[in-house]
Amino acid sequence: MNERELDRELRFHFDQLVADYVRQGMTEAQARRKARQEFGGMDQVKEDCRDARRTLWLDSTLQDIRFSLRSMRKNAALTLTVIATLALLGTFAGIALLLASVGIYGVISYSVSQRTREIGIRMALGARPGDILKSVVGQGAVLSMAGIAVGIIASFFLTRFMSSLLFGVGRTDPLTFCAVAISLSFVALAASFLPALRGAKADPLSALRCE
Amino acid sequence: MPPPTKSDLPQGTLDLLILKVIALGPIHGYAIAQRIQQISREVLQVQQGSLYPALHRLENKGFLAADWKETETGREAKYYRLTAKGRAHLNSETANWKRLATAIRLIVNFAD
Repeated sequence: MNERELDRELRFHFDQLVADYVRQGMTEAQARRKARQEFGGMDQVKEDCRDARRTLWLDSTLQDIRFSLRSMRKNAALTLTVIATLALLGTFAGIALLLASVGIYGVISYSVSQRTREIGIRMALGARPGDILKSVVGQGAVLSMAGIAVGIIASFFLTRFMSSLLFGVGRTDPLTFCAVAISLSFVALAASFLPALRGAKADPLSALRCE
Repeated sequence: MPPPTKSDLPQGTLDLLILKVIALGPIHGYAIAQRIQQISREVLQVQQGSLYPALHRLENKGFLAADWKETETGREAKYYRLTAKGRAHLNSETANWKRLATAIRLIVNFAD
């Protein structure tokens, strides 16, 4: 809802009240004082009006955003620190994710090149490309699952050192843990899928001859 | 002139009064308070602190709509009007209230 509109509406009421008292024979100052008394806390009335509308999800979200922007403006130094910290953490996290996916890609590529002969024999014995794909991606999946399990256990202990950087979310927030685990497994699967595809497309004859 | 005794509104009746007054024609918040006071012969007085939150709640529920229009004095004020949904709600609430009032009157007057 429009904040200025609410302001204008209440201001109109207030002025009408003052005009009324003046008409009843009060001086302007007296009338203002009486009206202010009767109105009670203008801010309280406004807050109640906002509350009355807060049932609308979108409105309440906008309200929250506006509120956080307002408090950010009040605390510029803190805001800058928070933004810088978040940017730094985000960059580190991004680099870590990139390194992890490159690492998985490298390991699986290496394993595929090591297994070229084995893959050739399997295909010569009747394995279809899908089977090869399954085997290689499966290997990547097992590795990344093990990594995620270790990571989750480690982060349970390590997050306590960065709990001062968390706002409005628990140190061991289940949703965050799930989201990170799921996105990491997707990245791991994608990273092992490329070399797996290469292995599956290999020509059995040349694969057998290699070495 | 001694001030007439004022009564508090029974819980939940403010919405009904507001809807009823607005049903008489588009009207702004200040005039709603005035009108309720006049029609009730000064018995009921609606405080701004409860009037405006109620108006905004009713508007939010879709019972009221509002436009900014000029008053006779040339200032812009927020005029509320009833929507179709609001009129239906007013009708059912009025019926409700009448039933309740009759029942209470029956009980209060019983011994007489």
